[in-house]
Amino acid sequence: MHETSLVQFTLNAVEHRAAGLGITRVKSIQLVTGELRGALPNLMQAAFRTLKRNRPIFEDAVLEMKVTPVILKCRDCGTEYQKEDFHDVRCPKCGITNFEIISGSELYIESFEGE
Amino acid sequence: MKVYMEQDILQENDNQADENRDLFGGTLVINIIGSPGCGKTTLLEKTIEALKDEFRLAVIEGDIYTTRDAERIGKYNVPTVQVNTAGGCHLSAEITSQAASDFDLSDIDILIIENVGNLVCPAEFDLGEDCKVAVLSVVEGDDKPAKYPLLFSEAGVVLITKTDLLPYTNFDMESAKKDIRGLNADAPIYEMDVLHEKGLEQWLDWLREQCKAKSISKTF
Repeated sequence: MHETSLVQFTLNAVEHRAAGLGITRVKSIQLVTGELRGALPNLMQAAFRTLKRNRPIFEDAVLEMKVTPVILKCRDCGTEYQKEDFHDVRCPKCGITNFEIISGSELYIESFEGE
Repeated sequence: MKVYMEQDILQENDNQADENRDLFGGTLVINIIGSPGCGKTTLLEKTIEALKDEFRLAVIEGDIYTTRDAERIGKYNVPTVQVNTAGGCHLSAEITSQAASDFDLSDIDILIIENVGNLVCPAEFDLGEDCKVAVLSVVEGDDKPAKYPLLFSEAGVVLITKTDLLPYTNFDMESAKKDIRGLNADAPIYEMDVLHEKGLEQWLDWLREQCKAKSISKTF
């Protein structure tokens, strides 16, 4: 349930930026989260509904999440491969486990809309 | 108006963690993470028993509601702060900073943080520690490193505990180690039976080394 903390940090950061720009109502927030980060969309939405209650600037706001898949790149042969999870992370071409994460570890606020 | 931020969600926590690193100075800070019941508190007790005459130790005990762990640690006469997260499943840099302000860090060689029992969430939150210690007991199953990759990929050392129970489980040590290696090429992996004090010495030596390295880096 670290989703609660993630949403709390998101609201703090967006509210801070919005205040600096004179924005009083946030309409939507766009997040990008990778499959590796375990931020479950339904729990993020539940936390968002609860945490926005006492913050008028977010009264009409919706949370939009873009979830990115796990894509790894073999450091040995350069092959890029996609994984459902981390259970068997060997390179399908050369069979070794020495990779860099190309996608799937994102966790950032892309943008928000407000007026 | 659309505003592009491109800002890490955890930035607020990470900023505080950086401040904590400054605050910790030459004190070695380790963050012990593992499932409920994997043996974190027992590890802490045995570690304190072994090192309390060698180093000046302090403990931050993270727990959702109770003070039971702090009570267990209390009898060793080591400065201990209990932090209750009131339902929160992990410690944060902010909570750690508040807890650490109870100590005079210039008088402490090693600050040990026992995180809330959880294999997922604590791994996401940098507390400003030097090192995350991943604890996995054999009764949890050898598939856990692959199922919870973040902790094992970030850990500076991995401890596989309760090895005395291996005959009663289907835990495949080689498979677990292979999965950990696939996620983390560098962290030492130590097998141990903490309760009966078997295999503890390699962990204690690792701690001694880390402490030495930290105090040297502080000097220069």
